[in-house]
Amino acid sequence: MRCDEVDLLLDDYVDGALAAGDAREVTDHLAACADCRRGEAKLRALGRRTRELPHCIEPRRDLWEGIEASIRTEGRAATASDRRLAGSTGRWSRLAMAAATLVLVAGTALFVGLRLGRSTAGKGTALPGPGVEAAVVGLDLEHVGCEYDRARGQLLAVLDARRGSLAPDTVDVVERNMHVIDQAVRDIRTALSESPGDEALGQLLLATYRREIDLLQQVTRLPGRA
Amino acid sequence: MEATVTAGTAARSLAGSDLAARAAGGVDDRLLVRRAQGGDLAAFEALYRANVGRVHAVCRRLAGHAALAEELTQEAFVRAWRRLATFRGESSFATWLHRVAVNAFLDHRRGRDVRHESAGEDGNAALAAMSTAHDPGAGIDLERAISLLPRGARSVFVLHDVEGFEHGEISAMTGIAVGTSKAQLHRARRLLREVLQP
Repeated sequence: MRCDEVDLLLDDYVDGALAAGDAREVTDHLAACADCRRGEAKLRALGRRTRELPHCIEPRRDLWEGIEASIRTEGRAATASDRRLAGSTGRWSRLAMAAATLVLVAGTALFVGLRLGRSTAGKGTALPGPGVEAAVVGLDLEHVGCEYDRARGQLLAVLDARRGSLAPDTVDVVERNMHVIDQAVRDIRTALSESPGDEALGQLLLATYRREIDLLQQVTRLPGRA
Repeated sequence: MEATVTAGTAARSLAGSDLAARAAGGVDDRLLVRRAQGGDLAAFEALYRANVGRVHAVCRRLAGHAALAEELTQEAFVRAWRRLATFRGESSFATWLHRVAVNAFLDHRRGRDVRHESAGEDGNAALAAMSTAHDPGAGIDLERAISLLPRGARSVFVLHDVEGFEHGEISAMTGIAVGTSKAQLHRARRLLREVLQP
């Protein structure tokens, strides 16, 4: 094996990632070549120094103030929007918030659908379909909720794995809206725990589940960037 | 929502003492996470205090520039707050947060804004200048040398050698091929070997 060939394999060699046959050839070469041994020693020294780097580096200033300000700004914007939409408290304000969320999800689906270049109609989810909301009475919402959580978790894992190939603005839009949707799901679930037989709330919850899963399915099907 | 968010200032003294001390002292952060998921900003500040050093470290090394690292650290925590509901506890909160920070950097890099970045693909020249300027027997600071690496090589070096990601994971996160990741790592290590004394 020549020195230039060893140089190309040296990273994998010191990482222990080289096939046994190649590793033996590199070992034999190193035994006979002082230059390559020096290169190997430097590489191992770099590895030691890298492993000794501190795990924590404190920023030069406290960043919490800026973080809190951003969170407050987002919170105020969401709350002002909710107030305009609801205009009252209690069950109907929660219904209005949930309805607003559906509009938001539909808007996001349109955004993603435009990226897909085709219809935004969802396919393949195991959750009750759009027509089922009208017949919510008798459905086991708790069971459907578990199915929703499971499907959502799987799709989020796919989204995380694919995020490197998606456009940053797409990921940003989806993440922002997921936050709002999750809040709406929590609100509707809370309202349902107070009024377990409320059919309108049940319909909204199912519709929200359905739209969110459809949206996530569409995002995971988006083509990667060239 | 507003009540929880605007409670932040009033709760800051609590977060700055009791909760932060508990989080920094290694007390189980699951309770803090649950409280933060419920909208408790004081609990989230405690999580920030306990984790900011680790998050800033990865941002600092990936960004190669202090100002950008601080910007990315802030962005990572804002994203984490926004996505808290998606944290299901399959990994530790610190691990999840670390991934959020790496993604914040990768999204930044895919974007257009590179105004803060100190070393572009001319990093070779910066490293070479440092190599010839320093005392040959003294070696140079590894953190400084990493910050001067070309962007692509620096990202892969930090993700692989410092943060422990495999080439396959780096490929999935960044969109580059596994072979490109290996080539960038080779380039980074070669450049660093040239300026660091064993």
